[in-house]
Amino acid sequence: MTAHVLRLSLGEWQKIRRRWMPWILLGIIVLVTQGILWGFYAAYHVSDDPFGALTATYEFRDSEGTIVVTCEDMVEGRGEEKFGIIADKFTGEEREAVQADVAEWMANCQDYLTPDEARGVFTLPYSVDAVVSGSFLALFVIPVLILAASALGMEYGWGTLRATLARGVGRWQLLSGKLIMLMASAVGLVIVVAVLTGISSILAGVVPPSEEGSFIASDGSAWLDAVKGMAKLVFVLAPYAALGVFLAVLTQSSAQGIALSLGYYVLELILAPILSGITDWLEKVVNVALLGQNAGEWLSASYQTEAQQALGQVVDQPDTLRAFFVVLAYTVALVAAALWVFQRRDVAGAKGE
Amino acid sequence: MTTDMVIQTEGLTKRFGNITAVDNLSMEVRRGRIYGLLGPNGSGKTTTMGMLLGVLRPTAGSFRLFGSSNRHEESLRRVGAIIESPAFYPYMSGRKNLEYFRFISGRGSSDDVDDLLEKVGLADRGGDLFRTYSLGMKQRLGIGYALLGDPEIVCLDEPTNGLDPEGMIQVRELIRSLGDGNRTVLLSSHLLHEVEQVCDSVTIISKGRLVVQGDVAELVRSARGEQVRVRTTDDTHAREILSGLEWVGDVGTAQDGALLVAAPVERSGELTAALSHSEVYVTEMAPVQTSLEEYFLDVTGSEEGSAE
Repeated sequence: MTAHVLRLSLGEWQKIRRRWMPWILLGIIVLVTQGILWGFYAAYHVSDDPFGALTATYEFRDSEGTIVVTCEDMVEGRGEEKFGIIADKFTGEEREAVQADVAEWMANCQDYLTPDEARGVFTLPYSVDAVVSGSFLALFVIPVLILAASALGMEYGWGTLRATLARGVGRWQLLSGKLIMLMASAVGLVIVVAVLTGISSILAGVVPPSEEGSFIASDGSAWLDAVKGMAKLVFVLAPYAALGVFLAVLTQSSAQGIALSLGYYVLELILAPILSGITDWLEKVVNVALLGQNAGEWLSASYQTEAQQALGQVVDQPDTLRAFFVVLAYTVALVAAALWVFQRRDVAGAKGE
Repeated sequence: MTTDMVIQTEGLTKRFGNITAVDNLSMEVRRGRIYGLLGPNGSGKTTTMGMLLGVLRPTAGSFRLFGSSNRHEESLRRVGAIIESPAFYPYMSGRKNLEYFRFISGRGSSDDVDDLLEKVGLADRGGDLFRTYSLGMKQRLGIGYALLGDPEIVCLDEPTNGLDPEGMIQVRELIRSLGDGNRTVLLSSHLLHEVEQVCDSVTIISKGRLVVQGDVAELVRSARGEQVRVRTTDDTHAREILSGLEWVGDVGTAQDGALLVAAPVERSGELTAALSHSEVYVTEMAPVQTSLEEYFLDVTGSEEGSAE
């Protein structure tokens, strides 16, 4: 039985590799991830402080004074010193107003990365870790949804499901074969992106302007973290593959399956912050119940940047255990639902989609 | 239950909402014969095949393949079939499509695929994409697909659709050759002459119900034996003489004026003798050539005579 399912999975590979769509999706993901990486690399070289700086001119009784404060000043504790340059020119309310300006601006530095941290974004293996982190999740989820819904939906459209089932292929074996192939494709997708990211990191070290040192870290645990990050991303893609398949089975259509699964994904993204803002209770419900929230939580890092440390910001520790079980529950429930519906439904002839 | 029966249905029923496509259908198909499943469009032929092949779920009733109602998927591995129009992956060639289905079913070898393409007349076009095929070529590929793995039962749903006359003849010859030996062929068709030419037995269904089941030759013979067409030297006198015979039924008149005598063909000699005894001589006598088509119209009702 296992051999038969594996044979079906290999059969799926024979089909999938002959279609244009998976390769186009892969191309888009590669272009976007590498584009962002090289864009960041360019920003790192072009600007000393890519996140800007506060430059403000204040007028006093008889003169004026200009203050220039950067996030780097703030992180390195030079904020007060910079402010001190003009502090003696203020009195009373004026002083408080300028201090308030500086404090407000400093709060915007929470996303600031120090040069070392910025360099890490395209240093192996941190670059791989960055690409497979939650920030890029949509880039992987959307192709997986499209691929999953079309893997079964197109068969309804062409009428080939009938031909397959009529050869004595069991329904659950067929669906299992497709899901295995989808997950194998997800693994392949993540590996290709990771390898290309690695190549980009290596290239960043050799193309001008020349860098001091290599863009390859010797930290062994960082490499392990990158591999873990890749595995976590693959795990989080499983419920989305199951969602695409389930909706294709439900609608017996590729187009409707893709539209509904993408719609669900986008709707979650829109609804989550709105519902969370209404009451604390709803926020808890959103955190526990929504797939997108838990997928993000599962991939999120507890890493605190130097800027966040300087600002005294507390980074919430992600509840990865809860996120793991919620993602797993979604996967199991969606696969079971897809199998249940698929087992009971008649399979109509070609729909010509 | 005998092992000779390869397909048996018992009260097989399929409803789509309020429409009953197949209604309490019980039929039997023996090993090693060519069966015709005959009926007008919408009579439930394809639905019946769909249920046998596991793509449609019966609403009620049951069926057995090779005597087994369990392990349906295993039984299906001994069956080759095309239902409705042949459906294949449009972005793959005919050969790749067959190789794919051969691979997933785990039956046969690559050489078999080449042999089948040769057999169905697609050896030269096997490398072309399926989406470039004409309807006739698609049908041929469908037949090749049905024969993959040398199945014991071959179910063909309207296999000559879209074929040119020469192609139809070739496919019918192919189907006849498939029936040689131990293989069973179930041929669904609305083409009466096709079933008459190709099949040994026929199951006629109408509105999803079984109308009649039996050997084609026997059914036609039973219809044909009822009437004898007669011309004589004096038809008026002949009518009187024949109407007086106990074993003769109605004596009617054909469009061309000949007498249509309801009498068994094997008693034609007695009929001639009775007429000549009264000095009326037969100038022409022949059994009425009832075809399966006429028989079909007779048993299904002329309002359903849409079956071409």
